[in-house]
Amino acid sequence: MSAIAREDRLHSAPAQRPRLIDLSRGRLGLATAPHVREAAKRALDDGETHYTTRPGLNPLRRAIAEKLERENGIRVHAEREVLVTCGTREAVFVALHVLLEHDDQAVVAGPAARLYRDVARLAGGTARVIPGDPADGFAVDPDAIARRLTSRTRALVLVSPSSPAGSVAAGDRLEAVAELALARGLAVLSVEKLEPFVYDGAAARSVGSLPGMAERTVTINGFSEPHGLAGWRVGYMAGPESLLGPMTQLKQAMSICSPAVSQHAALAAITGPRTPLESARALVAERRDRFFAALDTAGVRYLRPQGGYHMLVDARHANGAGGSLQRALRSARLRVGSGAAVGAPGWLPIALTSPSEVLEEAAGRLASVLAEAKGGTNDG
Amino acid sequence: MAERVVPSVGGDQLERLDDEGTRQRYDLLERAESMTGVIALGRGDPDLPTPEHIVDAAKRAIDRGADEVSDPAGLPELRRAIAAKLLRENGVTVDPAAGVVVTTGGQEGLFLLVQAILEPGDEILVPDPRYTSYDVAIQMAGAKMISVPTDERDGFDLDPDEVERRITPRTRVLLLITPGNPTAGTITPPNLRRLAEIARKHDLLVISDEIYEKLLYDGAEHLSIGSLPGMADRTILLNGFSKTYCMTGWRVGYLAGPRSVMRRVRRLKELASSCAPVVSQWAGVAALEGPQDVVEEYRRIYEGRRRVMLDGLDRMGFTYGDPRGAFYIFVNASSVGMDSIDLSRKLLEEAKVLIFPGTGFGEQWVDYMRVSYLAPEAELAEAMSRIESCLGLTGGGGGGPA
Repeated sequence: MSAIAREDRLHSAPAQRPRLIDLSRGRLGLATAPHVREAAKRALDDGETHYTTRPGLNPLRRAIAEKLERENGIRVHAEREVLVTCGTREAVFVALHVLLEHDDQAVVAGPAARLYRDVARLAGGTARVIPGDPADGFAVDPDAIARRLTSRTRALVLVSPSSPAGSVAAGDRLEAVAELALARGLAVLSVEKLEPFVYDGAAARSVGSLPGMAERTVTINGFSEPHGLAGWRVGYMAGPESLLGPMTQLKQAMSICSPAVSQHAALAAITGPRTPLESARALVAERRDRFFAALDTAGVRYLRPQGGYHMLVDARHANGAGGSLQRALRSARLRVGSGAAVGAPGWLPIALTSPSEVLEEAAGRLASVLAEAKGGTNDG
Repeated sequence: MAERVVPSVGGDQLERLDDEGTRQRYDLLERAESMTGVIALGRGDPDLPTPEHIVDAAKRAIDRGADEVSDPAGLPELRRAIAAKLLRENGVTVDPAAGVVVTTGGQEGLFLLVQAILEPGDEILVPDPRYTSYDVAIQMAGAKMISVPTDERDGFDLDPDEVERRITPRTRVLLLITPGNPTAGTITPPNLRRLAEIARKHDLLVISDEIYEKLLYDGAEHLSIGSLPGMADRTILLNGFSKTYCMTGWRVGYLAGPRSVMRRVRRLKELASSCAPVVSQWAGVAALEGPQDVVEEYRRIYEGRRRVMLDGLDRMGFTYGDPRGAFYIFVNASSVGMDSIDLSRKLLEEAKVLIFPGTGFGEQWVDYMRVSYLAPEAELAEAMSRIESCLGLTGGGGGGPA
């Protein structure tokens, strides 16, 4: 920063500074649907304040099994192969802790949140993120994954739609991933919590529905988004009894059962109307359209995501995609996460969790920051 | 093509996840659920309702919108209420901002705490008999549980000499639970003071599980070891709402202790489940800040039930460690001459009374059974007579505290 710029900043009153736009906020923050709230309150009135059966309320597990069969082509036994967890995060924690022993490895088709690496390390193992090729939209890359497998690789984590790149695993790619898992004896964790957010004609497909995959796939999903139940902490995992059995034991040791009132809310959400899903999907669709248009107008390059509500903006040609770019973003009152931290150095992960008009303003600011930073070397 | 390898969970891992006690208890629970007319003296899930003002507060939170996650350590409002409660009732000073983590029940608190403070090979001293869900937490941390025996004749109090005798250079943590599960014994204040001294002398961390603190009988006193001189820096207090306010299904508890430990616990909590359920956290705020009469009201109900149980057990000639707290009795059934698993199966099948075998709380307790009194007095009296006639013990007499 030049001396004059520094001087300017010193003299500008805080009130005149543009407001901070947080592009790193991970959640849509949707409100819980009225029928879900009413069901939760009714459950409380009915005295549903005790432990539930350890793996989850029976009607909820049945509804989950039915949903998986109907929508995902996955057949599981409702009582032995479904576990209700305190959110998808507990499911990931439990799955990686059970699958990984000391020095075992998980590979994560990325870019992906740091969560997977941190949890794998906590479990005594490691997780290697295989980001894929940006030219390919960071789609899951079976060949790149195959090259990184070791004798200690136990599990493959597939997040689809992915976050933050927004790729959707389907078609030949997904089949190749399945073949790889079959050939190498891997377990697959399929994290599908962004399932309703699929765009541009993409079709999400559950890897657990492919031939031979039922015996090795643990499907993880939840209710946080788009049912507005993030604070309620309820999700689920489903898969073969050989894996779900030990996972249920660990879950029991961790938290006995998931919160009763939240399970009743989840039951109302999963058996109720699809309206909340449709409107959440439409909300993100509208934000995408307006943000993409604003980015296009401003000349900002980005990867168009097929799903989820995160995306990557191209900052590969920015001068110092690492520290100095972050400083410039801060000066422009933008809060943006680190691409390097999710396995996509040179890219800016953007969450579509702000209203469209705010995103439009952010697009303009991003354009200025990136234009100013253009031309130097990339140290990100 | 080579034969397909189906992923499975390794044998070592299955061993770490294995908890024989829990399996025994759940096998019985499942069988009992498939039967009708069973009187359950098993699970520690209070039958009494969550007090109305707490339920109402939760419903208001739902109306207001409890949809967003909280800080991983919990709502600031709840952490402040917890810190105020600990100071007011327990003489324990903690920093609500950095010294408290709200967890998804006490069980998660214990699990995360053990992962946070124990390294592979470390030793943790645990009174025996014990609540065996501790086992998985300790095994997953790669640590070693060292059992410290307690005895019916001392009311299952913890003898500081027995603790000190088992300290090695690898001992890191002393776990205390008072009032206890399954024994319902309490660690008496003089013993707690000596245990504090031992912890200081050997530089141990202390986990103080005080989840049953409000359920005390016959003038028993509760003392928080963290309130003793020099103990604040080495004590992590575990408590929750499940037992005091009949809130098992809400899954909300907490840990409070030194910032250095709680910083790690907060990070683990974030990885394990983001935060405790927010509706339940608001219920917790209401529990701590609302009227407390209900706590004493519930305690008196338990006190009456306890009398019914003890009368029945005395009549049958059973002995037990003086149950000064909680809502359990750990009964010595050696006079029956049956292994505790066989006894629990017999009582379930023939008398339709569900009890938990002593071996569900440590393998050598083959002569014992844990009974809880979480049913109305009439039902408990009926359970006692069913046991009496099933075992042909009518008119035995001569039982009581050992």
